[in-house]
Amino acid sequence: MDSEESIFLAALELSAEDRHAYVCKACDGDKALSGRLHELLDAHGNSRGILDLAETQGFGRSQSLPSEGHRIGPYRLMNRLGEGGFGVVFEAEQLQPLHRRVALKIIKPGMDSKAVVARFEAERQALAIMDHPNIAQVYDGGAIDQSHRPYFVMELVKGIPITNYCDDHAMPTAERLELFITVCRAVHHAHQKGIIHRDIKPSNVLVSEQDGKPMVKVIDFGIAKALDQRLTEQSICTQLGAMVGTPQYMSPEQSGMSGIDVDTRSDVYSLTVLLYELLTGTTPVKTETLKDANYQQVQKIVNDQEAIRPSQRLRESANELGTLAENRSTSIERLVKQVRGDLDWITMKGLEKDRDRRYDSVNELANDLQRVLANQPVLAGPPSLTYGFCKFARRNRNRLVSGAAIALLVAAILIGVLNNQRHIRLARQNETSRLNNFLDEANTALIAAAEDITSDKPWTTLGLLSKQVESSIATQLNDSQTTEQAFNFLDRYKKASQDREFTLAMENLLIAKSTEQNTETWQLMERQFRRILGKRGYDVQTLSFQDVERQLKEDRKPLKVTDALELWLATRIKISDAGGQTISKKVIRGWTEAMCVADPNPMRAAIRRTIFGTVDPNRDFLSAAVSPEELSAACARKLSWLAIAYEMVEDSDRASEIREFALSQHANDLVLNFEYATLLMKQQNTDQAIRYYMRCTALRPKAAGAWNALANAYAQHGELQMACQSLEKAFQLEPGDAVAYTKLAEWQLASGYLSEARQSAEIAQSKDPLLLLALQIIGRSHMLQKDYHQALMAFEKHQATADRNPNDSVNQWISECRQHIAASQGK
Amino acid sequence: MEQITKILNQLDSGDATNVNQLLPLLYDELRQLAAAKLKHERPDHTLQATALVHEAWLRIVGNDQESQLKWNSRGHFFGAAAEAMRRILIDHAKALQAEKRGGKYNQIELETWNHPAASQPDTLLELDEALSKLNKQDPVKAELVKLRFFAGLTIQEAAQALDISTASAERYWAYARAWLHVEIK
Repeated sequence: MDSEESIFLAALELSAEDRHAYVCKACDGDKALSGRLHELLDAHGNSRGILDLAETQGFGRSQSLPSEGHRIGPYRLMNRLGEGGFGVVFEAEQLQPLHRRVALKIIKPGMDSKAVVARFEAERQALAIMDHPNIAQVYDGGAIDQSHRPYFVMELVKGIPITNYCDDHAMPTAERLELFITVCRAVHHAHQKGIIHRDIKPSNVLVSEQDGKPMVKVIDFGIAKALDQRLTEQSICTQLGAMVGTPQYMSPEQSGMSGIDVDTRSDVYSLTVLLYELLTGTTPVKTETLKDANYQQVQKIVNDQEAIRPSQRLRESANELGTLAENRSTSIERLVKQVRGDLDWITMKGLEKDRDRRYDSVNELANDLQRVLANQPVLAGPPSLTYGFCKFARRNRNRLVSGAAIALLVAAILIGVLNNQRHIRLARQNETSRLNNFLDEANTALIAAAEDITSDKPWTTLGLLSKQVESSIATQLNDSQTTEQAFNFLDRYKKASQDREFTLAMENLLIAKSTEQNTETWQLMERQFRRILGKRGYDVQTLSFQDVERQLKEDRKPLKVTDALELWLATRIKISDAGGQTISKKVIRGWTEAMCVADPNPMRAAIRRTIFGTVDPNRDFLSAAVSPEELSAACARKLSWLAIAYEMVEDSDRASEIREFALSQHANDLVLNFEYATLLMKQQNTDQAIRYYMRCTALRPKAAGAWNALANAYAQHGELQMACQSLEKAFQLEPGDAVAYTKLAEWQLASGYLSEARQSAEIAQSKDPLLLLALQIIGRSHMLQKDYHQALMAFEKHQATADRNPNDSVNQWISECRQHIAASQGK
Repeated sequence: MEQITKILNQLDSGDATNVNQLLPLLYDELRQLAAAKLKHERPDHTLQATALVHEAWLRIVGNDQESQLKWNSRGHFFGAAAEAMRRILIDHAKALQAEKRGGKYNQIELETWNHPAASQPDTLLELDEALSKLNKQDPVKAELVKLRFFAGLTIQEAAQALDISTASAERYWAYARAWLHVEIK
């Protein structure tokens, strides 16, 4: 009987149908051998094994690529037009059924060409019905025999990328916008036919000249989908040997982190990146930023990095600004001015990470840009108050020059109200509609502010508006309906402010909770939780569980309050554990169950019961209650509780997985970032911890706790100067105590800032005269500055204070000082 | 680079005393080459691990057709390069596994090595294990796979490096490929 190898090789010579019979015969009844051979033959037929990755790869040498003169199906390759990450483009001659010139794009090897062709076929019908002068048609797609390379045939477009075209022609901003609007209309046409482009970037928006006018063609529709490109580790690096989707233009949802499907708003995002580039000459995420980034970093950048406003970017491009302006046939100041305002807001709206906040369609984006060109107010906008007026003034420049208008304008400024377009109009309208307009604006601002409850900016605006509404009510009471609406608004504003206060207070406490952990601070914290809850109407010391249940049901934000109650209970248990006032198991159970009745969500209930130990800690119990849908719907706080719950059942892998997931979902949540950083510190990963603490300080620059923690992380990482700076920042927000100042003094001393160190130590001393370390630092700093008399005084004071346990090194220093003094006197 | 060339020349003149140094030298050389490339390439043009091996070779022998044909040292060179590349990729895969970014939100770092298999650390490690098994059973086939997979040689080039006929190389490859895929399934 032949060997396995020889039967295998012989079978390969046969057709697929004959193999089976041959193998059975050759194995001569040896079941094991024939089973094995079938396995091998199956493996042979499967082209998706790991070794096949190398098979199609070669060295990427040019001889393995088809070249000029080559025939592919009915096409003959002519000139090579270009090469990109995806592959090579040729100009080709179609020989039949009709003779024409086409562009033929050959995809680099390494993709599953069958799947590519199948996906292409699936969309072919839709592609065929697209008929727009600014869209290049895709005619055909297939795979080159044997080499597994997909190719696409499309309308031959000889143009250059839109960005280059605009620069080459020194097109002013307005003309750029017009050209861009054409692109939008074309993409919108495709969207209406159900086709999403998925890979909009300058090299796919080509411009040629026709009769002296620019002619736009959007190419490559349907190709990105066929190639199924997402920002996965495969597409970014390996399979094609080059990144397919260009990450600068890729929407967050395309970056593959969120797992949601791509829709037309993804094209809105990419188009806006293109707009950004047309305006500023750079993409929001600069190409240099991505240069050294790995896959994960790219994902993070795409998902988290907020874009800088285009006008800001222009201002920052100091060196190139001259060229940028020149390329737009304008002066530097005018360029910035053109972009500032509307174009800023439109761009920022298109670049929203959350697609629900972008323009719903490409057409809307185009319409807003059209409004800019027509000097009309745009949909996108900041909560800026002067906005409407400027717009109005520009549009009505002639009319405004008239005396009446100027008087109105002066009046508006004099009354000190907002320079709002509405005010000009309002002066001519009756008081009621004036209040109505205020209300409109105020209500919109309220919605925006409520969504962004922890940011200062929308709330400042809202505060101003509410004052305005308040004073309007005071002056006119003629229309009861409007007045009622105004009171209504004020009531809602008050409630929302309470929510905000509550949330902010909670955040600060949560930060304190992750850092300070002795009985005394726990007690302090417990009191604060009680105070916050009390302000909200929950007196935890007197309310019965039933009361709490009932009250929670009526609360506007029951989940937020449950959060606070949970935290309060957790601190309460901590105190009891640390030997403070005890809390019985029965009471804990009572609170836990009351919360579970008020908030019966199975996952949250399970977390609660695990953390408070009312069930036996048990992984299965916890995992059973956690479904993936729940996870993605869960708010930041609950995810962090869940991680703690997993830590309690000793599943730390799952816990850190949850934490990472939580951060990916709520990248801007202060407490999540803070907790994660604190965890990293515990794991001695100070370098990373610094990054996350920095993020906290960026998210909430006024949180002293975050600066404090950042300072400690820096210090532990050996960056004492940075540590000092951060701690000083923390002190500006919240004066430190003696211990904190001593810490600062120590760092300053260690980094050679002697006078500063002494100053801080003196502050510490004044706060707590018994603080020995502060005295040491004062002495040391004098000593290092060679002021031995002063040093001696400080050290002696130290030893006197220390009294019973004088410090040896201080004694050493004292004698050193004395020697120096003696030596100088000897001279 | 000079040292590598020197060893290869020695090999050509029949002196194999320093052949053991070839591997560590190439290991460093490939790493440096990759780092240098990454620095200068545009971010949307990443490099291919196997193209590096070829580039290293070209840097040593130049484009001179004649020296390209010195297949005695050539076989040694690609053998060592394939082994160096294997170690780099396996180290990389192990590092990735150690990071334990397990579970559903598995995120793989790209790092420097743009080998098509670099994103599949688990399969890569399995393959490596299977490969050492094959090596015990049939070292020539294992070497062929290494040359093809890690150094990116074509069948013809690998055949030349191993001093076997292209037809044999094709048959060896077919069998070894199926065998390994069954092994790691």
